Amino acid sequence: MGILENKFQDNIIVAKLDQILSWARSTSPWYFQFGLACCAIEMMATAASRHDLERIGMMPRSSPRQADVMIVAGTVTMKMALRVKKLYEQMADPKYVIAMGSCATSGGPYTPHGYHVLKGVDLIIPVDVYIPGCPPRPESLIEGLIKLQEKIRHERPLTRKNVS
Amino acid sequence: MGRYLVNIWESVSTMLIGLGITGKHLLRAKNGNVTLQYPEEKWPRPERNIGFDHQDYNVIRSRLVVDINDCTGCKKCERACPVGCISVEALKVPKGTDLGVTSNDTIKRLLVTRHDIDMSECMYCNLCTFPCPEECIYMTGGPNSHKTPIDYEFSEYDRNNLIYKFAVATQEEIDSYTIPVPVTPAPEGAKA
Repeated sequence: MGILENKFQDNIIVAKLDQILSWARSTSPWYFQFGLACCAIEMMATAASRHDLERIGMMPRSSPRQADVMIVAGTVTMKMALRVKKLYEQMADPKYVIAMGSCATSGGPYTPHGYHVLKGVDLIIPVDVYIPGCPPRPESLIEGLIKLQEKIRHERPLTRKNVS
Repeated sequence: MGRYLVNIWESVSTMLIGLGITGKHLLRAKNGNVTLQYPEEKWPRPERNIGFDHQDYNVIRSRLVVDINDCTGCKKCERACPVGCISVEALKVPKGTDLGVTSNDTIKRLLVTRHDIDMSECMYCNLCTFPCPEECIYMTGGPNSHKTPIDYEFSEYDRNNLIYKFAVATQEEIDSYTIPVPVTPAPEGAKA
């Protein structure tokens, strides 16, 4: 932090507003419960007391308006894809998407013959973290969420990006 | 008047009972805590008993791994995969070429030029591990944990990073085994 560093007592932390913003965002990403198939069971298990998701500041919300992270857990059928897109657009910025499980990542078991399944949710909305597994264990989901938190922590929301 | 005092006593006593239960839980918070502090501690394997020995069966459906030095390129795993997430390409080498032997002392006759497993499509059914004659494709952990430790957390920022490429044959190696076909210009009017 340049000139302000080590000018204060030990219990005063000097940081850029940028860093504080991204830190605050990363430590409380409330997620939107979007269980579509069997992965939703694992997502519920992750939020339950054995693998307590609120340890890392994640709290289930049932409304897209209140959520920061959308965990797409399960098979996205063609009929549901329209709703996924709509719900993603209803979320407030900054918004992140996690594709949980094989189906949401790339169609999974429905890849060769699934006429009714969207082959990966990243075809309609941008995905930040892909979590493999069919379904992923709760530990895998938490690891993916920690990875997402790392990604948010390295973001600089106030810094102007160099547009060339 | 008596009823009034009894009501007060009941409210106080029941509150104390509730607080006592809370205090008991507070005292044995370390023992009765079920929460797994995930990044620091992990479950080595599920605690439930599935009816047969854990050493024989991989309970955790984890990442697929190929010991490419043992692979003969028979494509049995590719055919067994119900999803089609394994793609194997093998190159026929000229006769007399020594490609080495596998750990089961099978002479390798094909050069594996490509062995990709798309873990984003895999549905962890374990069907590819059974037909493998050399037992070189397996899931990590469980009975194979002495070969590869358990790994089920491998989330990625990019979907393409979930495609695991196991083939180690270099392009020069492939080129050296490929018999150069002399290019002759097709005669005029011939069908391609």
